[in-house]
Amino acid sequence: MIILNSFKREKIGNGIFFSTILDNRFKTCRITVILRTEIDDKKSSAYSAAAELLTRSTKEYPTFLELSRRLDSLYGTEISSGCSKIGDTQVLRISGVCIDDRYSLDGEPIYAEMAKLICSAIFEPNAENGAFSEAEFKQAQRQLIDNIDAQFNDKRIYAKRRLQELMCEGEKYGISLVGTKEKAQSLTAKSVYEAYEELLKTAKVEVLCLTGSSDTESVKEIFTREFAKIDRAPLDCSTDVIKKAGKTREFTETYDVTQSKLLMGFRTDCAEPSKDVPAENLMCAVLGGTAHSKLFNNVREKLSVCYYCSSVYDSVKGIMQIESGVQKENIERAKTAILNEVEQMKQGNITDEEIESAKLSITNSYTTVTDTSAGTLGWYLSQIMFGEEILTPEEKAQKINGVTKEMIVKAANKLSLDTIYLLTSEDKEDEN
Amino acid sequence: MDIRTVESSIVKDKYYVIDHSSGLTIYVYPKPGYNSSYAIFGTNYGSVNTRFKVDGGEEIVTPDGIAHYLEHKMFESEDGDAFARYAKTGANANAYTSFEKTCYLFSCGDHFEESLEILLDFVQSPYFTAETVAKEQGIIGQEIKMYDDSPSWRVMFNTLVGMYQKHPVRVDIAGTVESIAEITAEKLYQCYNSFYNLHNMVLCVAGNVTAEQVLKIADKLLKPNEKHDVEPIFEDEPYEVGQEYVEQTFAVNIPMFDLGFKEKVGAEPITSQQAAYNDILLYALASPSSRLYNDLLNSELINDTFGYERLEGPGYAAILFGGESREPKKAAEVIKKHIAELKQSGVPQEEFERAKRAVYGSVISDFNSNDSIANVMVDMHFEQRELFSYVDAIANATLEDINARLDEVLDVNNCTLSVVTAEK
Repeated sequence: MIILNSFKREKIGNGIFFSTILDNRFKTCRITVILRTEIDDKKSSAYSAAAELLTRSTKEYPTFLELSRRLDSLYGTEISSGCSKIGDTQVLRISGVCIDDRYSLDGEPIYAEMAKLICSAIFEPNAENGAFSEAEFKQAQRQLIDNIDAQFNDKRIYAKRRLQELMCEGEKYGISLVGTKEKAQSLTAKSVYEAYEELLKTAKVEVLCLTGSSDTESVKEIFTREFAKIDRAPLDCSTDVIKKAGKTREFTETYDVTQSKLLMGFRTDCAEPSKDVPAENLMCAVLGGTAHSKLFNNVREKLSVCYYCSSVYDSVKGIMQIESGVQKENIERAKTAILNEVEQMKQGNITDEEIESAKLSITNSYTTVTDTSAGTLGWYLSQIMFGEEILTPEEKAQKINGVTKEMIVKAANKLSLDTIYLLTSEDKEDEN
Repeated sequence: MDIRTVESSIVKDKYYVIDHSSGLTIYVYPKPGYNSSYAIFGTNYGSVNTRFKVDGGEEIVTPDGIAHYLEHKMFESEDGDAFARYAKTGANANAYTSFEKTCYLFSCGDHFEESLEILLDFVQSPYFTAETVAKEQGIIGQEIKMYDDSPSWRVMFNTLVGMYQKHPVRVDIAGTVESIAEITAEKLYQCYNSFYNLHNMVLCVAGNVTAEQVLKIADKLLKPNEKHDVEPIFEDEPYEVGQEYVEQTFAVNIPMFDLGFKEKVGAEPITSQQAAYNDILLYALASPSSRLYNDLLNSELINDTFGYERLEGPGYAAILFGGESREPKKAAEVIKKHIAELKQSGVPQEEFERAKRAVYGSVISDFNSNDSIANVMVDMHFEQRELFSYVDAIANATLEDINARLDEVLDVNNCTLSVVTAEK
C-alpha cells in the first residue's frame, strides 16, 4: 500500500518542534535539523564555520576519514551541514539521507544508524575543553576562506550576491553569512565552539524525519532528551520589510568579463504572511518567472538582447530581483526593455493566456516537487518557516488559482525600483 | 509490436521496452504513487557529429555547433513555437545538446498526454527559414559568451583540448561566433534529415504513466521513417594526449584544475559490467573516504569541491579529477602518485567492500526521481547498456573485477592538467 505525505508536527521542548513525514514511495529516507536565528554580523561567520565542522567529524569518529568510512559502510549515507539566509534569519541546517532499510543487503538498520550519527554531530561534536578540535577547525577555516574566494569565480552568482548586499546595506539581509576573509581569519576553535553552544541555546529548532516505515519515535526521544539537557532561551527571529524604495541607486563594477550582468532589485511592499503573497508570486511569474513570461518572450526571444532574463520573488523579505546576461553594447536597450515590461504589468497590459500559463506553470511545479524525498521534506520545511499555516501543495495551488488579473495589476503597482547593479568589462577592452 | 518487461529484484521496480513499428525504441518506467511524469526524446546526434556519410554517399562536413543550433531552432514551427504550446499544459520543458546526443524533455503534473503530443509533434516538424535562422545568431552568440566567462566550464574544456589532438570533442558544443555564422536553413535540414530519424532516436518516460498511455500517443503521432545508414566520420586520434599542461588566466580568486586521463577507445562503448567496475574503482580511489582524498585535504591541496567524472562517447573516453586548489600542480602530482601506487598494490579488500556498498546505495537512490531514471535510460540506450544489469553488476562485483579494470584505465603517463588561474 502506498502511503504519501502524512505530516505530523509536535512540540518537544522550548522552541523545538519535531515533524514526521510518512511516505513510502521513496527508496531514500531523510532527517533534517534546522537551527534558526536572526542574522548577526558578529556571529554569522562563526555559525558558518560551525556548520562546516559539525559533519566533518564527531567525538566518536574524530577525523573526516573515519566519519566518511562509517558513512560508506551505511551504504553511502550522506550527512551534510550548511548555512542559508531566509529573510533576516540565518538557518543552520544539518541533514542526512540514506537508503531505506528494505534495500540493506545484510539487514543492518540504516535509518536508525543515520539518526544516531546526526544526533552525535549536533550533541557530541569533535570538541574538548570548550573548543572544537584544532586540526578539524583549521581545515574548516581554510575551506571557509576558499568558499569566500570562490564566490567571485562564478560571475552570475557573484552579481546576485552583490545586488543583495548593495540593495540591503544596513539591513540584516545584506550581511554575508560566510563573511569576509578577515572575519574568517579571526575565528578560533574556541570562539566558534562558544558561538555554537550559544546557538543551541537560543535558536528555534525544527527536526524533520521523512521515512517510509522506519521508527521515528526513538529519534524523537533522543532529540527530546538531548535538548532537555540544554538551558534553552530561544530568541525571536523576525524579518524587517522595507515597503518602498527611496531614490533608485545605481552601481557599476568592472572586471575582465565577456558578458555583462544587469540586475535590478525592487521592493514589493508584500511579504509573508500577507494574504497578497500568492498575487505577488503570480505577478512575478507573469513578468519573468517562466519560459512563457514577458521578459523571456519579449526581451530574450523578440529583441534577442539577453541570453537569460528572469525575475524571482523572495516572499520572506518582500523583494523581487530581475537578472539578465547581456552583451555590453546592449545594456541600455536591455534596461529600457526590461523596465518597459514592468510598466506594461502596471498598466494592466496582461493577456489571459499569460496569466493562465503562469498559473499552470506554478501549480505544475507544486505537483512535481513532492515526487522526490528532498522535495517533500523541503516543502514542509518551507511551509513551517515561511507562512502561518501549513498547506499541502494542492491547497497552495488553490490560492494561486484564485488570483485575478486585478490582483496582479495591484501587486505590480506596488513595485518600486530600489537598486540597479551592473557588472561589466572596462571600456578599453570592448572589442565587440 | 514487441513489448518487453524488464524487472529487478534488487531495485524492486520494473520498466517496459517497446520496439515501436515507426522504428522508435520507447522505454516506460512507471512510478506508483507519483503525481508527476517526465519524458525525454533524444537523438544519437551531438556536437561531435560534424562529419558523416548517409547511405554510403559523399562525405558531408557541417559547421561546428550546428547540432546545438538545430536544437534551438527545433522549438519553432510554422504555427508558433513549442514553448507557447507547452504554456497551455503547464509542463516545464527544456532541451540540451551534449557531445554525443540532443534531447528534448518536459516534466509535468497534469496534462501528461497533451504535453507528450507536443513533444513528439514538434521534434518531428522541422521548420527553418533564412529569417528564423538568422534571428538565433544573437541569442546563441550570447550563450557562447556566457560559457566563455565560466571558469568551471573552461577548465573542463581546456582539459579536452589538451587531451585530444583531432577528435571534435575538443570543440565547444555551441561552436564559435564565427562557425555559427556559416549555418543556413539548408544545412539544418541536411543534419535534421540525417540524424532525426526515429531509428536513431529514443523516447524514455518515467513517473505517473502506463505503457498503454504512451503507446496510444506514439501510435497517433509517430511518422514511420525509412531507416538510413548514417556513418559518423572521425579522423584517427592518437592514443597520446596532445598537451600535458594547459593554462588560462581568468578573473578568479581561487584557481581551479582538472586532471584528465585519456583512455584507449574500442569500437564499442564499454559494457554494463565495465561501467559498474569503473564507478566502484573511482569511488575507492578518490571519494571522501579514500586515502587520496584525505591526503590531498590534509596537505591543503584541495577543498570539498574536489570530485571526479568519466566522459565517454564515440571515439573518446576519459576520467577527470578536479576542483578548486591553491596549488593545482602539486595536487596533480599527488593524484598521479596515488594512482601509480594503487596500480602496484591493487585495491585493498576493505576499501573495495566499502566502495561497493556506497556505490550501491547511491545507485539505489537514483531510482527515486523520474528525471534521473529517464535520463539514465537515454544514455544507456545509446551506449547499448541495460539499466538493471548495471545494478546487478554493482551488487555482484568482486575485487578481482575491480583490479582488472584498474589495469585498463588511468595511465599516469597519458594525462593532461588544465588550470584556470588568476592573472599574475
